[in-house]
Amino acid sequence: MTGNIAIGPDAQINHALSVLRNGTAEGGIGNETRLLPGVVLRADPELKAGGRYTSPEGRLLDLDVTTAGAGSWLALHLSLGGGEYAPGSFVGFACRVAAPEPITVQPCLRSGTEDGFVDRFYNKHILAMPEEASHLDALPLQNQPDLPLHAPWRELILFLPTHSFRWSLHDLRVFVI
Amino acid sequence: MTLTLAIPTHNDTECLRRLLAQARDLSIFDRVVVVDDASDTPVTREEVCPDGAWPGDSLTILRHEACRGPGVARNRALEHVDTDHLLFFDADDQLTPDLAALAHRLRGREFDFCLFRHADSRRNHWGGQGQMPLDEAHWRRAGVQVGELGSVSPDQAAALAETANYPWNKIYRTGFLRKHGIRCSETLVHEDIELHWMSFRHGRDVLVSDRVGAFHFVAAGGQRLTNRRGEERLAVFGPLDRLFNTLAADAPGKLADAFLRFVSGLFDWIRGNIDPGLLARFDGAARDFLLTHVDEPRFARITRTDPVLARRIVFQMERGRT
Repeated sequence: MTGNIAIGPDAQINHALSVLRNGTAEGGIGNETRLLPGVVLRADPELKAGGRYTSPEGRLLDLDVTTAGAGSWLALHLSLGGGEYAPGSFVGFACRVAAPEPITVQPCLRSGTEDGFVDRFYNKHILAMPEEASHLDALPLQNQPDLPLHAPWRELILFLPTHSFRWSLHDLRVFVI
Repeated sequence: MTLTLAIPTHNDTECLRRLLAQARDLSIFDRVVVVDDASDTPVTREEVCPDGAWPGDSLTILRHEACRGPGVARNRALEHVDTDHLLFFDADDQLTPDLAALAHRLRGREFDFCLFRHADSRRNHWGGQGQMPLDEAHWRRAGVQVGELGSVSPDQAAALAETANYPWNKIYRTGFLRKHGIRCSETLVHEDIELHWMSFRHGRDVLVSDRVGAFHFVAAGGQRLTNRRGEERLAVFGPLDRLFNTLAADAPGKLADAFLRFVSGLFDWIRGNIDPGLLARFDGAARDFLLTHVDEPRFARITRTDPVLARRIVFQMERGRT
């Protein structure tokens, strides 16, 4: 992974995504599939998740997931690092997605705490359909007392279906403003 | 993979200059062949390539002294292609960065042609992006709307063949076109129908990609060939007859029926885009076409497999009688 000289709370994840976007990769899917440092696909072991992922040139990720069990979660975790967010910040993202069979993806901002983490879900689900669609959402930190401005680590998590599915994440850009 | 960009053009220097600059930036084309179809002012290298981005024989400019249409121009360009693959393109459309990624992906792959998605300017006016809804429906029916690169089965090919017959959404293997003598019709309009359907007829290794490789501009009005409403529309029956005879003889199954479905839709499109004074002649010719090619066994099969098409054929036959 090449170095990143950009600064800012969204710099590291956008750098990781650009590495994924500009390169190519493929491999099998398991309980924990590390795509890049800070970009991990995690599945509930009960799901018995399998399948393949590919990262085509100019795109982020094509997932072909199979499940053989009944589990509770399967999600793409994107590390946002840690640190202080200014009051009134927005943590948002824009993406382009598609899926042969319509699926919904639930985005969430996870913030580390001393005794675990807190999740804050975005209002809108990402709807992926056969025709590519774009999605934009931002989570305001104003008036969110349960969402810490300071956290040792944060993740943007995209919760995926817990059944077999195909999903193409053509692009994703994260912003903290 | 070596790749030629083949462009017919007529009085469109500004767009051609833009396209050549785009093609240079993508860095996937080894050669460009421009066929100037009798522009009022002949196309010159200095005018369309002022920065010298396509030096020497990387850019070939050919000229017709009389306007013969884009089909003749594409055929002439094909004769001058010396790379193993080519992309026909129109001067007023635009290439996209995704096309470069697709071209990289195709390196080392064996294929006859690769169909890719495009974006249509008419969709933007509706607040969307992508192909026209009918084309999206055909892609959906074929089950290929999502997927960076995949092979096309014969059933999928029959569905995809019904998409708009554009020449610029396929990267062709030059040897494939030459081996089967696949060319454009030499009519002023509807010149791409034969190229499109004969490609699906003969294609054995057909690939499809959901990458958007072209942005297609459609402007209502003006002098573009798409907007012609005269007698040239009636010339469509020559290519249609040839095609149906070939498809019915060589590929009597789904592809021939798909072609009939396409033709039936094309008849309705032409009726909406032809001078009213020509409607009676057009309807009569359409009736003759259907009576000639839809024999009883075929019609019986269509009534079972596609009753909507059967009803349309009956309607179009009746319309031509009045």
